[in-house]
Amino acid sequence: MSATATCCQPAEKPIALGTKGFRIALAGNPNSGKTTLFNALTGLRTQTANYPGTTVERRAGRFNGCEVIDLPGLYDLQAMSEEERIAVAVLTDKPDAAIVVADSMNLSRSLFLVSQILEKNVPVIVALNMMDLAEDAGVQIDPGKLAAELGCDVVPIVARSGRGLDNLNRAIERVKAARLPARPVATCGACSDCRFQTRYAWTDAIAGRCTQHTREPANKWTERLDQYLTHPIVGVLAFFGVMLAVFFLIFHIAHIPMDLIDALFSGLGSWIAQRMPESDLRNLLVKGVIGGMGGMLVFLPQICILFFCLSLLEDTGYLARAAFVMDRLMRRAGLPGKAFVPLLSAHACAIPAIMATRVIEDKRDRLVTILVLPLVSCSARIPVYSMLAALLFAHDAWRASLVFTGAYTLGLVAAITAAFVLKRTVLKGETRPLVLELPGYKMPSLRTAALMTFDRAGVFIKNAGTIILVISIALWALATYPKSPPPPEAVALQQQAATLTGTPAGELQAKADRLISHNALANSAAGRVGRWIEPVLKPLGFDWQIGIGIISSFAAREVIVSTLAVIYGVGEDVAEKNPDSLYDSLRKAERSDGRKVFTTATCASLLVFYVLAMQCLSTQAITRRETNSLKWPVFQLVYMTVLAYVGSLIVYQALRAFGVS
Amino acid sequence: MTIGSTTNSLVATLRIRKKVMNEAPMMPVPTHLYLNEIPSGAHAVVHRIEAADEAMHRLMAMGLCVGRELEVVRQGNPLILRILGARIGVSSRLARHVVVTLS
Repeated sequence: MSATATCCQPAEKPIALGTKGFRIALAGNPNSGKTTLFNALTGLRTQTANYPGTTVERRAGRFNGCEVIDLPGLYDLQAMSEEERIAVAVLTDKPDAAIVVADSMNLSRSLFLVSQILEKNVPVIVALNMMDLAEDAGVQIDPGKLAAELGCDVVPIVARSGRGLDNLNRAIERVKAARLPARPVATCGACSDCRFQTRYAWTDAIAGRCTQHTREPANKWTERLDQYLTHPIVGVLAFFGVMLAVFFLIFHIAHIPMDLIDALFSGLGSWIAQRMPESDLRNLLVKGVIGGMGGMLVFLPQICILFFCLSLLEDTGYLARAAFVMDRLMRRAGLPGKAFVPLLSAHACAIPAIMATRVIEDKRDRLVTILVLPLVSCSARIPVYSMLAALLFAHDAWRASLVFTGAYTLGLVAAITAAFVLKRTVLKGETRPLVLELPGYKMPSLRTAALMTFDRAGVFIKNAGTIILVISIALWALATYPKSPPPPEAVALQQQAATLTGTPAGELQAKADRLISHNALANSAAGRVGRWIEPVLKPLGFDWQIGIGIISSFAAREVIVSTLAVIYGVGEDVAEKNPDSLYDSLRKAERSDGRKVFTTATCASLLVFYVLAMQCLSTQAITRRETNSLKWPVFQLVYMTVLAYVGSLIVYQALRAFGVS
Repeated sequence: MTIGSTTNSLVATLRIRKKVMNEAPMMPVPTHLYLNEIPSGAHAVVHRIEAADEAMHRLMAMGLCVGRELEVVRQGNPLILRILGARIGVSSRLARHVVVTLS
């Protein structure tokens, strides 16, 4: 390492980039078009992972036999934030070349980063991006002059349209052929007390010498739109309008592929069921593997639509405005404005919401957001809410919709309150003040959005898929073993059915099957655990059968509906095709002492439990990935379970005290 | 003589006054304000930065350093600044630590 590189920066442990081939690090300011260039170069040939031991995403792809590593978006290399430390570490590992994406509309600031990377003694190619926008705005930059000033290649490009990429490729080839040692370049020697001032004086001077303004640069569209979109009141209303549109897409369009996936997996299940003899293996395949995978993949359309929309919104420049207008409101809860998009996304699914928290710079702010997101009512809770609303207010759509509104409100209020409390206890600290660039509005790139969606879907399947598969099999085993012989009544019914023919025989046989599966579940390990935890659940108004439902839905909330269908003898298939018959049976269900199981107090208590409890292992798997530790998913599980227990306890006991049974 | 000396002193006074008036803009008149106190649309030059946390470093890396001219596009919390042609949203909590001179 040269003297210039060490004088400002602390020594960083280099991060190995990989050993094969020619390695190019791609750096640039946020909003400089770095990701667009990365996508244009690498397309689908990318890999996403975290830098080892961190929560910073590492995207790498292949281009022309080179490995391209997309560094986090940077303004500075001073190693203040984790992103900057990683970028320094990667550059210290001496990639064979660094492409620095410079924004032509903001040359001086781009050069601030370029000059620091030049000092790392890595061969640098400056990709002067958005030349078209600059020309439109009356800014002319002389690339030749700039190259002479900086002592490195400068290639004008338009990453969005692909203009200039052939020249960029030629510049890479030149570096490749020569395996150039970094030239001793013009350095600003900014090691004085105010390094910002000195370095900026240098970049301002160079930018000034290389730029000609043909007219006053202005982005009239951005100015005009921002008058409204950053307005304290109009801006907030506009934000809710935009999010409403996104939600409309998520809930009204996603259900088509969701139904398709659902049909595909249940079709696959019955196809296997027909072709395999009745055995544990068949049950494992149908219920454990296919059921579990289907239950996870059914949320994929929502996740994809959400990421697609968010990527488009981000690309237009709107998302920065959303964070800007929400900042003041969110700060009261101790969260930054950027946390609001994840908080809204969590109404569809907590998983994409947690992945979307990467935009929050401050680690503590981000962690608090991740921890509270699962409290927001996601779409997996809808079947549970539907069931409980029907049990509470049968045939009264108006009151049933109040149940939904209440549950969603409770979830959002709980999330914001939990954030407020966490910021004052476990994760004490002031919310980081907002510093956020509001880039000029532009047309979004469908290609970038599609690649982003593809990438996120891969992360979801890889991380949530494996754990869901393991847990589905484990839960299936819990609900299946140890086996018990069919109950005497069922045997009697079967014998009776054997003497009859036609429909009556079928009905008796079906009744016997329901009794057998009820008996099997009741005597399985899950049933025993349900009985064992009944004393704990009793103060909440739950009996051991609801206990089984809670255990079986530990990995995915919506499973409680089918479990209750089995345990209350309706049969899974019937409950799916005709939910009313399930609700009727549940309404009639009685405890051993003859009292009804699903009283108003029990239903209300169960509703509160499902609003507040964690009960989703896919989310936990993503929390683990995004926090890079086991501690936080465990903390999340514990605090939410305690919250759910206490909440249900209060509701049940209060309702009982007021005479509502 | 009295008149002459009076005239002379008057001319001298006027000369001094004129000199003072010419020099007045160059004298360090204390017009320093905090960035969160100046109105929307105002242009100002950064005079002093009174914080050194991570958020302030980010702002400085974006070009807000001593001597830089900037514009307050929209005052408020958060406020919008124009620095080097870029629009940047900043918490007023951070703007309270930046001393500027109106230009």
